[in-house]
Amino acid sequence: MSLLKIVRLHKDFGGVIAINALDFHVDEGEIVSVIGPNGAGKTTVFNLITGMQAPDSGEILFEGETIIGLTPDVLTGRGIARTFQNVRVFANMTVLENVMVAQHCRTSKGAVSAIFRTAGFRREEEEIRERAAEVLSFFGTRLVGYRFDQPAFMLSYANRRRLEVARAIATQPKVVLLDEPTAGMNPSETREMTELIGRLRDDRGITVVVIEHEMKVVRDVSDRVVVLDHGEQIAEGSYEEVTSDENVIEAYLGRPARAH
Amino acid sequence: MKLLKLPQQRKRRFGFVDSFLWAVRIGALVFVVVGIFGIPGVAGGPEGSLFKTLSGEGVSGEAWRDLFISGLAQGSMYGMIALGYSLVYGVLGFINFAHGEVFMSGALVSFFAADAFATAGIWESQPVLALGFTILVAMATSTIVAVLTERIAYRRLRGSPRLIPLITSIGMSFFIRYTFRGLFGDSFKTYPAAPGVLEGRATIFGVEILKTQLTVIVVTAVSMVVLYQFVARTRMGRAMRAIAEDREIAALMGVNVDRVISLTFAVGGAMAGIAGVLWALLFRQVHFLTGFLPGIKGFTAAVVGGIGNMAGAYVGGLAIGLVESVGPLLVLDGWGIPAVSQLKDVVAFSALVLVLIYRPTGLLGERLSVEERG
Amino acid sequence: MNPLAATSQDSVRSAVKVGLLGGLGYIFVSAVGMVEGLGEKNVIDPILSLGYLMLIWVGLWAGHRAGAGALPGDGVSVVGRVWLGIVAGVTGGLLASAFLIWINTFVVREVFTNISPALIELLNLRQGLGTGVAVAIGGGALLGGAGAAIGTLTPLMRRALTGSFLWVLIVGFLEVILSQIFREIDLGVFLAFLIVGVTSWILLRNFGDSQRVLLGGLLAAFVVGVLVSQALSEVNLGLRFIPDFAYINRVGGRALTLSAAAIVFLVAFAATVLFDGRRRAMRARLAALEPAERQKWAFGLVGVFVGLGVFLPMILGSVVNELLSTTGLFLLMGLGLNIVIGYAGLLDLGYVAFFAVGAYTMAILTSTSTARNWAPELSFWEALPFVVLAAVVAGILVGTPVIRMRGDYLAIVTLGFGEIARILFLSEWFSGVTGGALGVTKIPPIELGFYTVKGTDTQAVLYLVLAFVALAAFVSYRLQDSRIGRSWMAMREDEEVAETMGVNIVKAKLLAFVMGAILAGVGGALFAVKFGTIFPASFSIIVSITVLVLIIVGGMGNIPGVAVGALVMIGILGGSNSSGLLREFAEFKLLIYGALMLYMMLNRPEGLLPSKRLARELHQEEAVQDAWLQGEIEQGEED
Repeated sequence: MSLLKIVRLHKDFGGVIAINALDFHVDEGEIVSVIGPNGAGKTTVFNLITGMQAPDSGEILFEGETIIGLTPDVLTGRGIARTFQNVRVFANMTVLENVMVAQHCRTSKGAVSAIFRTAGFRREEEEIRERAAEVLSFFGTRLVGYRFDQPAFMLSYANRRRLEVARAIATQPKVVLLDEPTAGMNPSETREMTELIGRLRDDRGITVVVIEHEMKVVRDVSDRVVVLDHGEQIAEGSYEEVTSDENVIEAYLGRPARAH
Repeated sequence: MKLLKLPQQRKRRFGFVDSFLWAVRIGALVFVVVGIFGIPGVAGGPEGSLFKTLSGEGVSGEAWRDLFISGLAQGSMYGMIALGYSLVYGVLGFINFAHGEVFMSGALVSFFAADAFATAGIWESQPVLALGFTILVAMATSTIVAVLTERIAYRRLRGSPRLIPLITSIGMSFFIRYTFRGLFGDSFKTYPAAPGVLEGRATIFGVEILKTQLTVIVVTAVSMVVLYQFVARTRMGRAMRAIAEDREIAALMGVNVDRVISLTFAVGGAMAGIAGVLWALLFRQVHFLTGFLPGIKGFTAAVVGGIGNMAGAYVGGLAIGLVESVGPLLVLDGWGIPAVSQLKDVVAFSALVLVLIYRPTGLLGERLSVEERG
Repeated sequence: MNPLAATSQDSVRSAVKVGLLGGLGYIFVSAVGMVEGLGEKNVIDPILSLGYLMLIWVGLWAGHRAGAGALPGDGVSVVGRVWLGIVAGVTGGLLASAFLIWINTFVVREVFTNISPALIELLNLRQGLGTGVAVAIGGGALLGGAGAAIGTLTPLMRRALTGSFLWVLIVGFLEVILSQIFREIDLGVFLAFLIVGVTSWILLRNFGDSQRVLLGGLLAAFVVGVLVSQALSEVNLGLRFIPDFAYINRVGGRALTLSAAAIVFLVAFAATVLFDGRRRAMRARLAALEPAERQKWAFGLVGVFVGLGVFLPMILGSVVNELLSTTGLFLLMGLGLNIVIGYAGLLDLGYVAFFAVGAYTMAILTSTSTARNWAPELSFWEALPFVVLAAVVAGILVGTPVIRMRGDYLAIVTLGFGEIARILFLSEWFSGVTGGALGVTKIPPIELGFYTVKGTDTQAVLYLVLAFVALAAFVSYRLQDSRIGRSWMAMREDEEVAETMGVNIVKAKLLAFVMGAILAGVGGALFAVKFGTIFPASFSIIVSITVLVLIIVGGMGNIPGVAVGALVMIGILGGSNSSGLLREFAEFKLLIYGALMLYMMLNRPEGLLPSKRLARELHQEEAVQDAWLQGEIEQGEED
């Protein structure tokens, strides 16, 4: 059974069709890349899966159950996490706090226990802090130590992207949706991120769906590639298969897939 | 083709908020319907204001008509005030709470002109001239106040976090209000009675109507048409629309954003000034607190009509005017609630809440700039 | 030689502009009646009234701005800057003179009610128009030059000068409190302070790591302190000669004598200059403290405030205690609104509704008046749970419809709810229960078992209010530093992202509304008991605005900030229904509220005592630039 299954999904914005009869699925433990020209509807798919927008018709199944109409916070609880294309960290919160907030749905202590600082509250708070530190150590020395207490806006662009990934991991997801995780990174940072995406699955057993423009990254990480154009799936298969697919080449319109 | 991004109406599972909102929607509807029609066949229950009228014990038909017309007159003024809110919100994306004070400043300062005319006898001998000049004074005052507020405060706050200009405008509102109190004192200023030509009633299409109310309705309608033509036809009007659509692109296209935003405030101020004189004509008394309630109602009207939408501001104004004038008797009286006229503000604010629950984008739909759509 | 030749034309032009603004300032404070209204209150007898102070401040400000307006690169010398200040001063003086001539020649009182003969007398220094004009221009030049000159001093001297002058003003303003303290201080309270202070110092130094020892020791010290203070309360320390020397009775209240003012000024000046090195050292040490160490000292600071809260009311006397309890009530509301706005970012303008609900619930349930239909006559403690319950229900009723609204719609709708609540309490519809415009009377005092807190017993009321304030501060602090607090912060920053990170927006917003409502509701209940009678007129929109202003002035999102805001706003200027220390301000209170809001939003939106986070948010760019300069931000790292 697929972990995530999308069936004949449709979404339009005031008459402009963003997603049209889209079908695709993601199996557990896979790394799937979603590629396509600008405006192909890739980010919209992520928005629909995470409940930030509602589809007009069609079905999204997660672990075999429909998740349409569920709010983003509930979906995070079910195990779907994401990052954003235009990096949306909580800029004025510290690095550590950013990751601590992300554990909101895995923790439960409410106002009363916070006011009385019950033993349970303190234990949970300690766990949150430890887990946050642990998640941040995923990026080596990039986000640890004195960075814990730095506000996020002080971070470099690449580190903000890393922080977003850390935040997504901290929600303890089954599947994580990464929206252009290497955008704006230099080649060495991109290499590092590529490797991290692999480790997400290998070390942590998280299924990954990634939107990516950088074809080298797509080639290196993907088990499978899904190609969208005008909100429709035009090809699917291994990297080699889709890059030699005529439809795909046509969609990129003479722009040969940017293989370096 | 322009990508029209509709407000995201998320379909959700039915949660607590949804149940609550539906309960409010249904409850309000039932409350209104029962208030108007009563529960037929139930003795001792709410009688329904309509049946009271039909059975001759409630409000008479003429009284309903008068309420309706005075609601229209009042509503036209709300519409004029609403324009200022709506234009500014459309362009800058914040509620300019000080706009009620802009209205008040016109009403208060023009009093001195009107009073001077009355003393000199011109008010009676040359009513059109005197009234026209008084309106000009009010327009000038309100325009200056509105443009100054933008220049002094809001211009420096563009691009700051959302709450900041909002809080600033609240501060501005208090500052203007109590500055005017300091300058002109806290006594009520009694406007001269409307000139003789405007006394009594006229009959239009077989309906008797107070001439002052007729004046208000006509003047506001004409002002609205003129303003609409200005925005639709002139170069500056086009620039205004361009900025309301997308400030950055407009700036790239060579529109002088600062100047056009000033103009937006000026236009809103001028309309509020006209409304100020009309208000004084109808109610005679003006005061430094005169701006508070009409200000809030004006904003309510702008939201009800669909913020950023010029026609919407006018329609919203009329709607709020009618609701608060007819509503208390029509709905509350039917329930046997005593002294309903005390509750007209409650009715107006409830209407705001209900409109935002039933139709958050207002009656005619909102029009916001790209920046504000988020 | 023309001393202005050295300055650029631009800076002269901007000096003239600033001068004109200054002149407008002169006209403004005169025409709105501040000069006359505040003219009665002498700060330093006989030379300086509050009214003149306003005018002097305008002149100094203009000069300072004009002098500072010249850019460093302009090569403007000190003398040049002073000349720029004088230019501004004279320009302003000319404008002011034009105004003076106008009001001396024509009678404009019919229109401008506050331009009275008394004002003209004041502006002319009672010597006729000629003197007025001469003083306006000459004084303008003098003040402008002085303002510019202050700007050219070294930072230390500037701080010493302005700081000392500020101290003189503070000592002048706090006349009521200071006289009271010096007159009434007795050996008991003095010793109590000493005991608690010394004990906590020793405890913090030696047992700082063990919270249990700390708390136990402090508690013991407080108990001993209270006993000592009670036992020795009859022995006056005999310090009344100090206020008798420092203050003198005048028509507009007591004012500082010239010699006392000079002493305060000199002492403050000397202290600033002499202890500058030590102050810096302290600051450096504070910055270098470990977090644990810092927490220890924060603990000590809390101890100091508790000490003040426990012992000061004993000697403050009824007037000041009354003032402080009003301040405390507003602080209570401020802490609540701080949760709603400062933490969760929801601009609630109808906050007074919750205050009113709390007050009316308490009043209706406890009142012994027979004027209404329904009077269960409960006691305060029996009614309190219902107050909380009513606040929770009100919080949910107001919060739920606005949850999905945009920030500014939320503001106007909550404002609408506030008005709806007031009108309903006032209306005939509910007058059977609420008493309509007559309100609810005969609200009984609070029975504590061993003591009865009557509303007129200002000291007891103050203790009660302070206890609730401490509780509220404690609750806010604990909530802020918790999972809930973090979710509020995240929501305030980016609601959509917070939701995808698993924060339930509905719950988070409702909880913020409900917590805010509870604090306001309890505040309302105390208000009802304190006055024994409540009227719908006490719950106007002004209350909401006052609370908003105090948290803005103090510092949104920061508990000590809110306290400072409450002390400054309510304590000095006065609350919505009460006057503060400076009673003369009462008439201009709301004008000043507005001006303060404008000033704070435009120049210091993070407040006097900002929360770290908000300061960061508002000065992000600067912080990033600083960090760049210090090399704390890496650019895309190279491997």
